[in-house]
Amino acid sequence: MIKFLTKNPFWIVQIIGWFVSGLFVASANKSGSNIQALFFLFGSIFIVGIFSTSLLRAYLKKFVSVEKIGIKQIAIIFLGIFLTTISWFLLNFCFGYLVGLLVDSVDLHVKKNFLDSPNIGLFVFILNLFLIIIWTVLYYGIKMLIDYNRSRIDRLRLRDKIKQEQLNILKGHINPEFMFTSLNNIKGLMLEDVSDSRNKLTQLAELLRYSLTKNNINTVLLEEEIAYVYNFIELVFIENKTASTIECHIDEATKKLEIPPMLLLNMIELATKHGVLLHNVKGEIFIHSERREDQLFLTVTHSGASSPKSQRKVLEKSIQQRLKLLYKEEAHFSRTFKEGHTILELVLPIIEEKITEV
Amino acid sequence: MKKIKTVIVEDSRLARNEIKELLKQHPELELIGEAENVDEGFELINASKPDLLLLDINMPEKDGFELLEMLDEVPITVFTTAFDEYAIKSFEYNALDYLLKPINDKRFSQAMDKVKATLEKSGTEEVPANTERLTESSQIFIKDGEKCWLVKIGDILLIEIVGNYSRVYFQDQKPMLYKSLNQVEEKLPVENFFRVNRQQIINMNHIKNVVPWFNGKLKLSMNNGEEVEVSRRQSYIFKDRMSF
Repeated sequence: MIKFLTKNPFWIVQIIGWFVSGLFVASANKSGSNIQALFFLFGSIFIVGIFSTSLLRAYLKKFVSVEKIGIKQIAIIFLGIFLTTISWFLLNFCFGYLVGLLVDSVDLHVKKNFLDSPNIGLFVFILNLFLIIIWTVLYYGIKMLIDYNRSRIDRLRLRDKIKQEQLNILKGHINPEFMFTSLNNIKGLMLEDVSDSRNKLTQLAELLRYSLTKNNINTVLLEEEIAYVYNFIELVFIENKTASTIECHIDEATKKLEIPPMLLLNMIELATKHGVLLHNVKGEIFIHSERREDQLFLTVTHSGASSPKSQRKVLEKSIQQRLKLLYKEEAHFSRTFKEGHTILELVLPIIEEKITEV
Repeated sequence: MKKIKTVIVEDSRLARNEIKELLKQHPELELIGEAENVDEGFELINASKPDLLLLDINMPEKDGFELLEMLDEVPITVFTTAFDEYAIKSFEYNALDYLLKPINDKRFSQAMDKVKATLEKSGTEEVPANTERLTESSQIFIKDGEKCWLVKIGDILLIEIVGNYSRVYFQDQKPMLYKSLNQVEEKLPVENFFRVNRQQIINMNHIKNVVPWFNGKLKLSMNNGEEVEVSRRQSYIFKDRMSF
């Protein structure tokens, strides 16, 4: 029963509303000495009211659709109101008669009132009409409020879903081109150095596993990501290990901090593929992490300028969008060029508890 | 059979290793040079005039397409790429193949068979000693916006001036070529191509019919339905050439 009521707010409002109106009309009655008359008034409002307006609701539900409201629909509503008023009026009369059959005195009282002064009949009719109009206005008011609320919740849910989808698309992954180039390089390396190519193949497999399994996890530990950064670097420099120097300073206090997976890897991709590898000179890469108050600063600095190609811009944009979705305006990614070095800086807010599922 | 002179342009040494390993199974292909970037490749191709170019698309600095744009004449090209198939798909009209790395042996053999077939078809005529001009079977690379074409000279119907550049008509395509008409004319084989007026050059093999026009001029309809007017001066020469 309770379940039925919570699922159907209409019936709660309907019953309580009419009960209160019934009491109100009955108590406002001046000639209220007669207990039967009070009972009649209350009954005529409460029972007949519920009955006729429930009919009206069924009628409105069947013939009126609020979505395409127009003159025709409004006319149908008014016709409904009018018919309901008439039926209520007649039912009132019948109700009075029924009560009268059971209790003589009321019958007389009511009959006398109605027949003696038609004004009272008119008054009751207008009162009924008035009540029905109020009821209709309330009915649609509440209905719209509930609909609005429902659609607002739907909208919010939808927006969340879209956000999650966007995040899934943007989620860093190992660039497929990198995958295949590495595989091809390893295939070529087998002709020269079998044991080294075996190692490289394992590293590539680890990286692939990381990319595949961390795809639906929102955060990883910084030190975990760093381990894969080394794998990535080894594979990028598969041809000539001495072509670049890499230095890594990871502050102890930051190792256990949680970061979204693949962000640092993407920065390393920018620094290598779109950075040092473009220049035919020995390159340098510095990786640095530091905690300042409640912010984590991750910087990747590489020698030389970065590539002007569109792939680089696409990658940077994807980093920016991911940050925006995850942290709104609280995280930043920037690239600056200073004294022959390109500095990629990522600033993340430190959130002590896990980032909750978006 | 004459060996097929082959050149590899590929930035990664290991990837070149790979291709060389594959080439070992095809003794009819002779590797005459390799380059690790576009500029070296450009020098190499101009100096050695290879029959076949194995070209990596994705290279740091300049990419494979830029190399093709730099070349006046493009050898038969087989692209090698790790992933960016979409780049290959930008080709509208082509006589080329592409291989995905790591390359499958069988797939490589198929591509080489195709190359051999193409070469046999066009290679019967001896290439004239004068290498300054292109021949009927030479192909040029055209890139207009996002689209690319490799066009055989013999397939070109008409070239006309558009501003400082030229528009090349072949089959049902007409992309822009970012070279002036005079620049183009210098390279075209003299025996087939004829400058009909200031604006247009036609391929005489693609004329459908010739009608006399007023003032001693001629009007030509081309195989693709285009009509061109021959200037008075050129009409005399044209009649002479066609021995009217």
